[in-house]
Amino acid sequence: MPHDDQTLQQQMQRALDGELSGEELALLQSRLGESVQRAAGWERLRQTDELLRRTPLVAPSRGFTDRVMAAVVAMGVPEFARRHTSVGLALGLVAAALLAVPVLWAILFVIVSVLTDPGALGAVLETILAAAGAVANLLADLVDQAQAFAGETALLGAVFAGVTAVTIVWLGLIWRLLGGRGAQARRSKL
Amino acid sequence: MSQDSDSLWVQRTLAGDAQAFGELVQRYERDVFNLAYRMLSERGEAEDAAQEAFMRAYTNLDRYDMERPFKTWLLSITSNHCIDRLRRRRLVWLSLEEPLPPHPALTSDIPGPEEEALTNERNVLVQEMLADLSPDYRLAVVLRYWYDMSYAEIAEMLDTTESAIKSRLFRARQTLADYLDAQPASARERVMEGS
Repeated sequence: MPHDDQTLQQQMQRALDGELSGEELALLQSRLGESVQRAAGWERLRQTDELLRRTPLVAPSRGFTDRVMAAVVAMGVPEFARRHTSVGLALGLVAAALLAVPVLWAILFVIVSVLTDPGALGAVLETILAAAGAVANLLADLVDQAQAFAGETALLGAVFAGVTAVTIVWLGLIWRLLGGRGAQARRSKL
Repeated sequence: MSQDSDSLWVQRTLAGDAQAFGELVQRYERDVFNLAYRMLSERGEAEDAAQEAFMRAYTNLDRYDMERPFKTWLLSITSNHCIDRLRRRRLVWLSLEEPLPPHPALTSDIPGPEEEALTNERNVLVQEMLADLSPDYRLAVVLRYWYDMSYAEIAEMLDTTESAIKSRLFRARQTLADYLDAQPASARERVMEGS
């Protein structure tokens, strides 16, 4: 009967997978014993299962890991690093775009104001000149203070040289973190 | 060989330490190569495929989900790559009408020469039996017997259902049993020695 055969097949499969209880296994053995053909079929399956279980993993030839690693190193910058760079660039562009929006709106506002009210142009120019004057005054104050400090402190030259050296070291570190000349060249190829 | 330790090496690799990936290659070279060999039946091609699988794993490492076992992810990449190779190879065979290449001698860890010879004989026969199966059936058998994967794990890896895998495995076992039964009794007895 097909249904019986299907059940028997399922039980044989479960027996091979070690899923049958002692009682279920005994029942299966008894059913298999009812037919020489079934018993022979089961024995073939069992032998095949045994053969597969006893066949070990095969190993690659010696130096396989070294060959793979040589290929990995030869590949250079991995895809994930490139993707990270791309993601960073994309985020930077998004941030720049977001910052650009209010600036563009301000420029547009000034242009529209000037076009609709010529008197506003004078006010805008006055504001710009006032801001430039304030910045110039601030810079002049800073220069005066620096000159006064230089007059009082004999170590200014050493401080200046120290700050310059630290700045160069920091710039060098940032350059290395960004991947140096090689990364720049690789990026330019993309 | 814990999952935590695998994740550590993965994180180090992602942080830019390419040599950390070497630890993962060394740890899983045997598993990856064995899967490639069982699927492709040719040692040289299996080494190429295993190397390619590791390279793919390396370049896609940031897509690896650390919640899942690294070995399963790696085997999944290897099996997909082997299936691709088999498809390409089938096209070449169809055009050239060449027979299967002969099986080369296999390496083994077993020290005794007699035992090694027997293991090789067993390997060759098993490889012939596997070659008689379709790639999908062969893959299910290999994952079940050499990697001790459950039906659910195999189903997940092959993107199918557990019942489909059960059915596939049962038919595969029947086909393999028929192949073994067709061998001369002396050959069968020899490979089953010690059981």
